[in-house]
Amino acid sequence: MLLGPLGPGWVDDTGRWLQAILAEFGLAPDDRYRIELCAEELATNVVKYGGAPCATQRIELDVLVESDRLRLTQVDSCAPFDPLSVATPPAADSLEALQEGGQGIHLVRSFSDGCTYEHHDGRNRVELVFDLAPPVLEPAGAQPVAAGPRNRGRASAVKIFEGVPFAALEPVLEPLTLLDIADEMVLLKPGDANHSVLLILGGELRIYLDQPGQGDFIETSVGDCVGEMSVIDARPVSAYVIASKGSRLLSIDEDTFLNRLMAIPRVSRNLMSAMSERMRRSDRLTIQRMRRLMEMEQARRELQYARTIQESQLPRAPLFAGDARLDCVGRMCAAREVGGDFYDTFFLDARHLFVVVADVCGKGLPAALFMVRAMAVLRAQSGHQGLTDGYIGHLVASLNEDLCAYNSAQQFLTAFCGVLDLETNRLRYVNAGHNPPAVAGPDGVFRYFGEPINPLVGMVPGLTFRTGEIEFGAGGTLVLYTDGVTEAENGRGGMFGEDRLLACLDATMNATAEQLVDAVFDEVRQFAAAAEPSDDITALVVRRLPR
Amino acid sequence: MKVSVDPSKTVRRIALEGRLDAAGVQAAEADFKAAVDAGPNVIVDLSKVPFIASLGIRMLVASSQAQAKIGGKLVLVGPDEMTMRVLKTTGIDQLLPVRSSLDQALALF
Repeated sequence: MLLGPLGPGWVDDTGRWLQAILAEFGLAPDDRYRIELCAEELATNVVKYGGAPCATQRIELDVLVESDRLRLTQVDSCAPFDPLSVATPPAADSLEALQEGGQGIHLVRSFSDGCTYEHHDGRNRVELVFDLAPPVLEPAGAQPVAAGPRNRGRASAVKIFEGVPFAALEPVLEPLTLLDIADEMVLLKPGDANHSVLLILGGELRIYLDQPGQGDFIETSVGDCVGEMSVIDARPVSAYVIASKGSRLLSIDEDTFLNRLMAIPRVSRNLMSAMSERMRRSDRLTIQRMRRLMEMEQARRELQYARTIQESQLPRAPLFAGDARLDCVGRMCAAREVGGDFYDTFFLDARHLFVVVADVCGKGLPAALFMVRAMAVLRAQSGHQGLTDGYIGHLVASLNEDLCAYNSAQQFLTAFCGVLDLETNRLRYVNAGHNPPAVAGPDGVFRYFGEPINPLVGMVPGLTFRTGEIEFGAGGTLVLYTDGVTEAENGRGGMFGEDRLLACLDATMNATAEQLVDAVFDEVRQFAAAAEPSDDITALVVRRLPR
Repeated sequence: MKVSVDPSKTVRRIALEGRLDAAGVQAAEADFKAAVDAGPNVIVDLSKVPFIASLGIRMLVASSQAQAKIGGKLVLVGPDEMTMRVLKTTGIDQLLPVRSSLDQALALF
């Protein structure tokens, strides 16, 4: 028997299958011709009238050979339709009329020796009978072969029949149905009632416990069987069973399985050991999955922990509380659990304020480790030199030397570092490949600055870093940020951009540092909308309060 | 399924080789149609077609109609006995000429 889903492939499948089967029987060529012709017309008919292709709508084709006749049956579960009720078309009198069709069933009637239709149990069943001419011996000397016993003989070689005498099996297996299955056919699905055990004689079946065609599956091959669990406990099927290529199955009905096969002690023992083996396989799969999940959960917890540590490293509001000269807020929002951006600010002495915003290449844990190191080096080195004009240039150069020295992963960072003298109102800075910061005077109008631009930090040792200087006095506002702000994407190929940032800052008159940071983060979030943040986002705002 | 054309003769000959079942028609249809549509008058050689079903017949009928439209004629030649039975059963032999030999077919042009 051939079992396949409703779809245009059915016609080709039946053609191939039938040619192979009929070749084994040694029929007269004319008989083969008309059987193949009628089968193709029946198949074409069910595909044409059976409805939309459907993987769970099954069609069966079976061939039964008796001594001088052959029965061919096609059974489908489509809407009731009697193809034989189609009237024989009158002799076509034009090519147009012939083109109309309706010839298929006419051919079936003309070339078979009997056809019947019945609708039973929700299935259409068409049976054709062919009276056979005496078999012709092929020149190669091929003998007519009785299909049944030989194919079932192969069944006695599989695992669950191991060690069972052929003679005990043969009468039990003889009347059973042999199924050839179309590729990728869904044989069983969860919730199905099942009344037969399918023994694999050829090809493979895949068992999916979760979703069909997704994730892990249990592979079964020749000698395995499926469906025995639902037959044994009389409960619905619990998994998807899908046929791989070229599957041939022996369908063992419930009664034969429980009352005749299980009655043979060796068979039931073989089955139990096969089931134990399957259970072991499935256990191994489950344990593997569990272990992977636990490892992932552990890694996730550790990352969460790392995030807390990272966040606690960054100076948090209120910064310099009680200092009437300053209003200062920093924020870093990592794209993943941990990030590679950082900001820092602290007083070097009573009048010199140090500020930095930096962005380590990459994201996640590798970037975060490098970020922690860079931040620690900056803090450690910041106290080592006198506060001359060259101070900030020296500091960045020594950070560069330190990061270059032990850097097998070739990491680097961009940074904007500056020292603000609160007495002279001068901000002296080094821009190492970083985005231009924005600054506003008491009028609240922002502009970008940041020349000269130096190379990145951590790539090439021995560099000197050129400094720049601007006026940054009372009433002014300084905004440092990373490219996570200006290069935020909206998921449609658009980028936030420097103009949008400037417009956002200009729109906030007399805002506190906190409100400015909020405004920038809100604007970015709105712009990105549903798009995943692709980079860490950082901003540090320093306001010099009017005297 | 193979479609080959011999345009050298006075009337073009298209030889089909293989089963004209569903798969065969699918494989041959585009080439066959192109060969038939190339110009009026064509002989279709079925002597190497061991099997035909209704989809194959439909393909032949459509081509014959296409020939009629451009003022040409399509003649079938050399079907085996069973294929002839199928052609007769569908009545196609009444509507387009079927000949057993090439000479008989050529005599029609």
